[in-house]
Amino acid sequence: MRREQSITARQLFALVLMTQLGTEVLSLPHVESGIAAQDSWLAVLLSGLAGQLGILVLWRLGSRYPERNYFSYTASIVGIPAKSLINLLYGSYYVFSGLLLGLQYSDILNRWLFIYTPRWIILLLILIVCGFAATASLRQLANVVQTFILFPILGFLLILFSGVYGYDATNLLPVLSNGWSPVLRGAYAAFSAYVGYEVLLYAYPYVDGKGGAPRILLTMTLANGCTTAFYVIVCLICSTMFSTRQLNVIPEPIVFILKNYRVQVLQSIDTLFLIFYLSVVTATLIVYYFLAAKAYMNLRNQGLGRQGAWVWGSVAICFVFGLFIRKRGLILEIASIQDRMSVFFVVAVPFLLLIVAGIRRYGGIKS
Amino acid sequence: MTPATIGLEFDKLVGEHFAEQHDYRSQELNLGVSRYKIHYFETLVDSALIQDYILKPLLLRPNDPIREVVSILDYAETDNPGEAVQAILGGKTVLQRSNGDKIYLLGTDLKKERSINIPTNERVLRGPNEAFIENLHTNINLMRNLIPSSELIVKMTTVGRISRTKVALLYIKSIADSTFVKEIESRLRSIDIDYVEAPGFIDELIREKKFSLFPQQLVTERPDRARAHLMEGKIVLLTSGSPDSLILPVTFWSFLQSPDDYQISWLLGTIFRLLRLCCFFITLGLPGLYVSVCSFNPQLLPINFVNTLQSSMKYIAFPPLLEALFMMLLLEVVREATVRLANPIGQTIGIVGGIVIGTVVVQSNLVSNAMVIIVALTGVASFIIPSYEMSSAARLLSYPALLISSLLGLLGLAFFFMMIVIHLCKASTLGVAYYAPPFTAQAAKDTLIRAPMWKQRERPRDTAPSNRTRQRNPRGWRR
Amino acid sequence: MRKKGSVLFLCLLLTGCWDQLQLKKLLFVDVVGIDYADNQQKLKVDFIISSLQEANQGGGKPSSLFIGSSGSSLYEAVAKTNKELSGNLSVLETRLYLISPRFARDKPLSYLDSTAQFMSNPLYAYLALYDGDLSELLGRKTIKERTVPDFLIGLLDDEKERGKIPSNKLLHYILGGTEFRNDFALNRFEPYQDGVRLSGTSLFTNGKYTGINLTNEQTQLANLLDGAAGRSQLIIGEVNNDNYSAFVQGSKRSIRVIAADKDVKEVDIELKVELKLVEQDLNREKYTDEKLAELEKGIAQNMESLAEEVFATLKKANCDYFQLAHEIAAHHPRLYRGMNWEQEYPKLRMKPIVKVTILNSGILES
Repeated sequence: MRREQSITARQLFALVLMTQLGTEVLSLPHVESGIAAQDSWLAVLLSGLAGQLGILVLWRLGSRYPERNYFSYTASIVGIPAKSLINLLYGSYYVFSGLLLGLQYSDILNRWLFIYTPRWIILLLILIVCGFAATASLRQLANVVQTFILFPILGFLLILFSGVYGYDATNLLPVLSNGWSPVLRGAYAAFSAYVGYEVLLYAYPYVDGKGGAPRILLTMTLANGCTTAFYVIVCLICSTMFSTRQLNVIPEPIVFILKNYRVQVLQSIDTLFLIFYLSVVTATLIVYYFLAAKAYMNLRNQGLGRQGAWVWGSVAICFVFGLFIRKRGLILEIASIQDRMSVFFVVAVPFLLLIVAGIRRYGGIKS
Repeated sequence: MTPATIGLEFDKLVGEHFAEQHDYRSQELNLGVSRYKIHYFETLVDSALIQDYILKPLLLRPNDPIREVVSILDYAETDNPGEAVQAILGGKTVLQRSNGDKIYLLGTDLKKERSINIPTNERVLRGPNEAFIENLHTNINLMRNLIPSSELIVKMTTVGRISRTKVALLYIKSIADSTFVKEIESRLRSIDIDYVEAPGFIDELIREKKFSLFPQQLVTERPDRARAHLMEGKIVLLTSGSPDSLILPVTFWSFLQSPDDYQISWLLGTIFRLLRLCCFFITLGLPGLYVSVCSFNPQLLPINFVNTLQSSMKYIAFPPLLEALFMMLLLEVVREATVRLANPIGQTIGIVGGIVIGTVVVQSNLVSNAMVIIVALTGVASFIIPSYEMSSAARLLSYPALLISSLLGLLGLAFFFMMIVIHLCKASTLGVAYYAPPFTAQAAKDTLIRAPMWKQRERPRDTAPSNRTRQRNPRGWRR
Repeated sequence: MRKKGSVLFLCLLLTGCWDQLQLKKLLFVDVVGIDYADNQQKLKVDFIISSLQEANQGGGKPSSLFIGSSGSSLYEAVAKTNKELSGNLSVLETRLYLISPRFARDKPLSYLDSTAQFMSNPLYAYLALYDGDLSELLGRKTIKERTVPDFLIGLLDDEKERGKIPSNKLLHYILGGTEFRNDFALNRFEPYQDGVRLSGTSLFTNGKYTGINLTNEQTQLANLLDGAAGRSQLIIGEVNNDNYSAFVQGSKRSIRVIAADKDVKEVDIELKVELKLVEQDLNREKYTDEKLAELEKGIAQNMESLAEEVFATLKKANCDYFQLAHEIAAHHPRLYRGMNWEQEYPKLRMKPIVKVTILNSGILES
């Protein structure tokens, strides 16, 4: 297998940030408002902190094996057959996540921008771009993602500027009127917004530069912090500009906020925002397909098949399944399944592996 | 081979190759004891040189060894008749002495070349105005005068079985990466072709991505530009018979840099560079953006704006896509025509094509006003790009952008830009990435902005891996 | 095979694909007027479509086209017009929704909720009430030499800039309403001479028109009391038989809830205004400090009495315009849960406290 070229810490930051940001920025205020009412920003903040804990687990695991990536060092922890199983599962998880995300965003575009265009065309376009990019190496991928990072920044600025007038801070009071339990439930529901930092599992050995492990932790914390800030500010803006009644009805509140913005030559910038956000969603999808291909390739130590074949294969499968899934209710069901899968794969499995690795080491020292 | 056989062999070869050549001359001279024979192409030699420096000395001292008699600098002896035949074709005079065992090759080439002029395609406002010409030696002369250092290495090879074109490879020994040099040399050596039209053929034969609209190597006819790239560790290929030099490995940003950025103040240079980058995007996407806003998302524009657009389109027969295609094709046709025509007519056609046709086409309700503005802006913006190949690539890419925007609106345009970015990121020359996002201070210094000279202390890492410091204390007068 | 493919591709190019609109055929609806038809079951919907005529070589005349339709919902009304007029009605650029009092009394927002479903409807359109014959107003060609949409929307835009009227964007009221309680005041137009004019605001409670209106001065003060910024709004009145005119340069309001055991005793709405005095009865002398203080007190008293009128009107209409319920629910949640706001509000004691500061010391700054 070709040895990956190295990426810098900045590129890791861009990669993690873009993978974490997903369609949740549009739907999160609505979902959270139903669970935590005016404390939704608190729930999202807690969720970000939980994500930070998850990052610590991954970082610890990666720092034990700084020369190999996740899909190959699991063999040292649990043996080769279990490693193959893990790789298969992860590969399938990423393909599944890719399918879901592609469906979600093409559904959003279909509902807000392109009513008559058949959904499969939008899905096909997104998947073609992702397939084309996912066949690149890690450094080329990081270059692509770094270029795209301009767009969520622009989108964020758009949201900030349109949210500055007409906000009502009393919407946020009284804080914690129903106690902590709705906030905790909201934090659990929001966790899927932070999933995406597990790209560290693969990229850890390829980050170069002095500073080593602490620098990587710092970079990841920064990226997670930026994502948290993004989501929290979006929730704050939505909570202060809409009432709870409205938030429970509107599925994508940010779009409505952006519709209000108007200058002499431009208005209704929600269109622009949705198109800018396409680059974020594409970046996430590219990373998912890339990781899926790497997971499959690492089934054998010398590399199984070519990256291009795996990527286009996964893309084709996603497209075929996407043709059959049409109802929005079905998409929401799949999303909840994927939420639970993501908690399992991103939090539970690395944690278990860390414990097993610790036990083995401890057992090894003892004997 | 004995002298006699050499002579016979030579005569046989001459008879084979030059029997049908009417400008081939061969003369016998009986001077003193020896008999001499000279062979030359009268169209290739400078007869004054032969008369003054070969025949005259021979007449005075006919019996001395030729080496001491003839006062020609480019003197070679050979006993290989094939080499002698090749030398005649190269413009040398071949001298044979009866009973001599060697054939003497004397350099008397006549070079007809034009004088050094202003570059035709790369005008700048501030900066030197010399350009390469077709003669390889003159070009190397210019380069050596610009870099009078022993670090500048010039290596020669020949490419093309019949054309036997000489190609010179220039690089700076202490800066350039030697693996790149070896790689380029091996690629040049492996070219197996009859004749080479430099630099286009060479470019295509040694580039890596076969199907890319974007140029992979920089073509320039300015020695100062070549020098700047040599100083960064790049390699320059000069070909005889062509005033264009090829520079590789370059990145995407090299095509948006122009020499006069460095001659004016760095603030102005930065602004003009950003302007060029904006114009690059305008060229790619403006017609597509206009068509997608008009046809898919008029809600982006306030009602007064939309009413104006609508009223300008009300009586136009064509849909916006066909209007745009028509005007852009017209622009391309006029541009090609202006290149082919002689100077005075060319300027007139430009004016006629531009103003008159543009106005008349609007008045006849074939194309709307706004579309003429958009296409004119696109065309003019594309000519700001300093490299002809890159501006053509950008103009040509605006057609697919237009087509896909008309099918899918802003989504299609976004899709198109993403594909372009991914394509650029995946391309590389000699292992050097073609495009890297300039979002760090180090990377942005010479790409997005033109940082002041005293800030550019290090060379780019990719092409100059070892010798990276280029300035130690540039403003040394200021303690 | 290739021929068929290229023909297909050309067809795609010529006819456009799926979502492509033909800008030429779009009819941009600028103003929508909604009223009940004679029986309460059907809606009478009027559209004004604005366009620019004769704009080929610069210049152009704005013009408007009126279409009336009816139906049981907005969608049906639009569908009916498609049979009467060629082209596609598009609400991409609608700037104003006008409703009649008859329609407003009877759950207007439930009909307007459906506008949120129009995919690209920019919901920043104004919502206003017209106290007269909607179809007749919208059917006019021009009012004072401007098209009807330009006139109406221009009025709203300019007065909003001057800070005299509240800003009424459609999104604030539909889908349940942005505020804590869906009580608000819509701008009100009424016929005047041969045109229309803005005349105060109409009070809505729970999304329904109460029939009670505020006058222009009351509206301006209510706007300031609601926290609007000072934008040189004009205040006139009389102190000691001297008329004065002043501009509001700055304004800040705060709400204090005075509660004792399970009861809200009083709600104080305090307003601090900074005025720039323009004229007071042609007096050109420089003011002394005592005179200024006297003037300030007098102006404050005038504003307080006007505010009392506003409060009385609001309580009569049971319209919680200042969203006091939200203040109480935010700061005293337990108290609020024990109250039945609909009954308590008309009995609530609301006291206005106005503090006036006059910034300049004479008519002309010396």
